[in-house]
Amino acid sequence: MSDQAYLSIGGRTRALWPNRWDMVVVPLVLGSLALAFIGVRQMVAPLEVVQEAAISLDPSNLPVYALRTVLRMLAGLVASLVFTFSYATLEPRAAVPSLF
Amino acid sequence: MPILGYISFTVVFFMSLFPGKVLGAELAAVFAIFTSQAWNMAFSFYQSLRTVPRDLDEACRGFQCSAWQRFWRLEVPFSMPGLVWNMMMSMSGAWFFVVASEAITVGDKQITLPGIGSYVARAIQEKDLGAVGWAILAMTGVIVLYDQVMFRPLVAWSDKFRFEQTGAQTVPESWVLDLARRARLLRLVAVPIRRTFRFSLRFRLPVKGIRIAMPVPPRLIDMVWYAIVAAGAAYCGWSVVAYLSTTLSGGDLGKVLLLSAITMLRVAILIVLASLVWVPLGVMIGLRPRWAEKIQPLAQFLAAFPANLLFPVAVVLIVHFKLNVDVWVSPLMILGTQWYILFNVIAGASAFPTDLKEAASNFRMRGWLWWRSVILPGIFPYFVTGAITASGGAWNASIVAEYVKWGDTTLTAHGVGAFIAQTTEAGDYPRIALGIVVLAIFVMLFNCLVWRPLYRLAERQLRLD
Repeated sequence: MSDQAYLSIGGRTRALWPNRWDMVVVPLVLGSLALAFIGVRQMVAPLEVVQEAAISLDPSNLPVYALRTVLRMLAGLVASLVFTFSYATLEPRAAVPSLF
Repeated sequence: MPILGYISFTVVFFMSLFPGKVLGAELAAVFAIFTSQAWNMAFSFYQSLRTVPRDLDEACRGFQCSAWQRFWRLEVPFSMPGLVWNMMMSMSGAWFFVVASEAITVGDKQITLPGIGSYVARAIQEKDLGAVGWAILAMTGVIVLYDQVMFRPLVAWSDKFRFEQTGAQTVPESWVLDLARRARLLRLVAVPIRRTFRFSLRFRLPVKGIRIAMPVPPRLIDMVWYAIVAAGAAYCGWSVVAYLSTTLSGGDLGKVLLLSAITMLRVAILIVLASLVWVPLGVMIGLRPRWAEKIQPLAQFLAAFPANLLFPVAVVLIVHFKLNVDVWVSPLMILGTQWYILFNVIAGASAFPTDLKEAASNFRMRGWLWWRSVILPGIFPYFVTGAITASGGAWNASIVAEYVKWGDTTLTAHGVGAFIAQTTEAGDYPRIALGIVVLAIFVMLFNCLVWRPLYRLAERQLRLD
């Protein structure tokens, strides 16, 4: 309801006009999308690429490693969330969780 | 170093799905993270579903909500604060497994996925303390980032779902959430999504759920389902026994049973000790929202700090002081999992209704009486959830913690975790399977005999209605 009012009261042009917060938010969103794209593209690369490049202990590689780990964690979290909602909903009739 | 026994199996499975791609190994790592956090989130959600207050439940029935509406209008909002807390703590727990799961062994092939975990594994291999330091720094950055960009906004947002009759004094805030709310272009994307979602909530076609539409009684479906499950379990059990009995003797079984008992003793003592420390502290923190706000990032960092990084220090200390390995390796098991208790108790204490708190202070309840009849019953369901997940985590961690390495120094404690780790390293598949099966049976027994009664008690007698 509130967003409906927001869009109609200010008129279409004013409501859609970017404000100063967009200066910060839009680059952030686009930047993280780009990073995610880079990471995902590395994820689907052929296996040989990974096996040839051994892990180097040079700290300058750490940001890239961190990005990969972050994406992995995010994927795990999303999968867990889906599992949580579906499992707990499909299993509410049992007296105790059948996981245990 | 291979970790949890099943990883070697899942890697083979996922690699065969995507032959010649990193994606297979990637998915196996994601799966390891998933298994380390999903069950504990599911458990939190489940606990919320079972403790939905009766008045809200009746209101929902009164409005004739469909299952879909009920799910999104009542169950998800009600469980949101607890779920967000559990997501945070699962995330913290998962770092422990990332370190282990990024360096995977498939048969004789070692696949190292680029990531902080494999970086740390390599540093441990080469005894490079400086690199461990850099990894800690990177990890700190990632954890802070995750906290600021994801969990702070989630906590601030989910605060509106808190169930209570009186308003709270302090409200959690997040600059990212404020930013996202003020930006207009973001709204442009968000509003249509939200409208579609709300539109989907208007339909209430299956008014009384799907069950009424079924031609057969639900009892029959249940029976068929249980029969299928039982048959599957019997078949699996039979094939495991058949596989193991060709190569293993009764002596192996006895040995593994004894080792599991030792590990179980370790887990039980650790849980009791951790509860004695963290329940009072968690209550103190949880009842003070300002403290909780300040301590939560710190606790989260401590929890997320992969205990594996401290293992080398432990090895050096144990060797230096000639300590008993069986005793002093145990703290490593609880290092990563004690936070489950703390987080849950904080969540319970901060979700404790303000009206009850005020009533207790009006009656001038203090000291032991207050603990025994006000706060302990109030947080008990949360505590049980936390303790169950903590013990599960400790069982899991035993595989990594009872068999620790730093370069070429190795410490082995007596326990089923060390047994699994050793046999996995030796590639002795029958004994890996035996170890995992016995471990699973012990965990199940532990849950049936200890946690299930406690959980029932929490559910039946200590509801907040």
